[in-house]
Parts: sequence; C-alpha cells; structure tokens
Amino acid sequence: MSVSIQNTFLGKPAKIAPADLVSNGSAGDFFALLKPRVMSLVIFTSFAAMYLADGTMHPALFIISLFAIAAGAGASGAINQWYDRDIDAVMRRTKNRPIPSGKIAPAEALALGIVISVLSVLLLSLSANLLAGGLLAFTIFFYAVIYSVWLKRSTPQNIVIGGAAGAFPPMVGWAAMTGTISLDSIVLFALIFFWTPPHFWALALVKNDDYTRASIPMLPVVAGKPETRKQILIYSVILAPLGVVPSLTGLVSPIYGVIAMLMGGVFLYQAVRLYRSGSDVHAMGLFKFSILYLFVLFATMIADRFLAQMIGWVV
Amino acid sequence: MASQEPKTASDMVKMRRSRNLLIVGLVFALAGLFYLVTILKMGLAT
Repeated sequence: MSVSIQNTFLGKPAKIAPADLVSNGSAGDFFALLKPRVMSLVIFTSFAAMYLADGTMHPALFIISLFAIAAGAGASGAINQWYDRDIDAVMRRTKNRPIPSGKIAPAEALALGIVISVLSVLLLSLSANLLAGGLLAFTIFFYAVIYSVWLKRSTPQNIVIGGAAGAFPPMVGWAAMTGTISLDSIVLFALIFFWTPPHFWALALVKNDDYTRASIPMLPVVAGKPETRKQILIYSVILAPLGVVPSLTGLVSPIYGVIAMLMGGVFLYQAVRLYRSGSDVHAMGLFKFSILYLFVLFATMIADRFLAQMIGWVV
Repeated sequence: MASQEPKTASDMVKMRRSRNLLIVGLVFALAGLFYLVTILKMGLAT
C-alpha cells in the first residue's frame, strides 16, 4: 500500500502504519485465518467427547469451554498460516488464503494467533480446569510449532506425527468435563490419529503437483504414489477395527459398534480399490468418504448416548 | 465478507477506525465472558 497520509496522536503528526504491519482485511478475512472448517471439526469432536464423558458442568460453562477449545484451534490455524505463507502462495489450493492474497498482513496474523492462543488457554483453564487448559496449550504448541515449523517441511511422516494435533481436541474436551485423561479419551484420540494419514494422503495423491511445486515432502512426493497407496491401506486396516473399540470399552452401545463396523468396511473397501487402481478419482472418493466416516462415527456416538439417556434404551 | 481496498487515504482511515471499534467491542465482550465464567464458578463453589 503506497497511500501516504498522516494522522495525529496526542496532537503530533504520525505516519500511519505501513501495509506490511496493518492491512485492510475485513472481519471475514480474519475469520478465514482461523481455518473455520478445521474449527468446525474440532468443535464437533470436542463436543462429542464432552457429551460422552462422565462429568457435570454448568451449561454456560460447557458452551464457553467448547468455545475456548475452538478458539485455540483457530489460533493455531492463524499461526500456521503465518508460518506457511511462502508455500501457501505457490500452491493452487491455498493461494487465496488471506495472507498470500494480501488481505491480511503477516504480522497481524501472527499477533492474532498468539493473542487468541493465550486467551483461549486462560479461558478454558478458568471455565473448566487446569488440565484441560494445559492440554489445549500443548495442542496449540504441537500444531503451530512441532507440525508447522518442524515436521511439515522436513519429513514425509509430517501428517502421521502432526495428526496428533487434530486428535487432541476430544481429549481436551474430556479433560474439561472430568479433569482426567481416561482410556476412553485415548481411544477417541487414537481414532482421529489413525484416521488422519489416509485422509490427507488421499488428498495428497490428487494434489501431488501442488505439494511438489511447494517442495513439501508429502509421502507421494518423496516415496511415490504406489507406496502412498500401500500406506493408506495399512492405516485403513488399523482404523477399521479401531473404530469399533468405543463399543467394546462400554463407552457406547453395540449398535454403534455395528455402524462403525459397516463404515470401517466401506473405508477398507475404498482403500483396497485405490491400492489396486491408483486412480485419482478413487483417491478423491476415499478422501470424501473419510470425512463422512469420521462424522458418522462421532454423530452415532452422540446419538447413542442421547437415546440411552432419553429413553433408557440399553442394549 | 469480501475485503475492500481503500481508494483514498480517508477511506483507509475510516476502514481502520471501524476495525479498531470492532476490536474494542471484542475486547469488551471477552472481558464480559471472563466475568461471566468467574461469577458462574463462584456460584457453583458456594
């Protein structure tokens, strides 16, 4: 921005901040910086964990805690976009994000991310407990630093290890309700942890050129597409039975187990089909189905508990 | 909500002023939220 103007501060002329420090981004641009789609997934999985956990909380504190977890996720997304602004600019999928498109200045994005991170951790510590606040702080650190700064550009295992960041929110929600980390919350963590690699690698197979252009060592770029399809199949073989586990630990009823088994079967079928064909259409099909898979599993867990509570329906 | 490029310097000042007012509003809302949480937690403790 080359607009040269002056404003006054305490009667003294002062130059307005340059565009690399202050932009003209709208509220919508700032909201986009928080990765709303990721936030919606975090809200959904955290809500499920909070609803399933054996704990009591004032309804207002429940909503505020959920808001704090979502805000923390959004904050880490803003820091991620600040750090990745160079590679976002060269990838078709991300070039229209607020920073590479020039709508928001990098310094503003970083400031927003840090401020919301601190506030979200404080808010959750106050509305729930210190364990939940500490876990949220670790999750933000894991995504913004361990994944974004370290893993993403250095290893093809970036998605595997970095996937933990997306798997933590249900554990944070569980800790918010109970003040503990139980086996059930670890199972929910594992479910998302093992879901993440086949989900992202299916997308990476289709967007391989994009990642190559940005020099990001995604598995298809480094090890090739056949190896990626094999890894997707391996993780799918682990994921399908893992999805059933919440019904085996008694967290939800066997009805959920049957649905999880069916969904896992379809997931596995799609992974085998992709492994054999190597088709981008099948990769995109698996990517889309993986989103549905996670949604159905968590929605079924919520519905299962809701029905059990409402009509005393115990199978 | 699409971002708008200011055409003149006064446009830019107006845009930044409206954004600053929004930030002030958010800070007050957040202060209210912390206040509400504190009151609720105190209420539950007694």
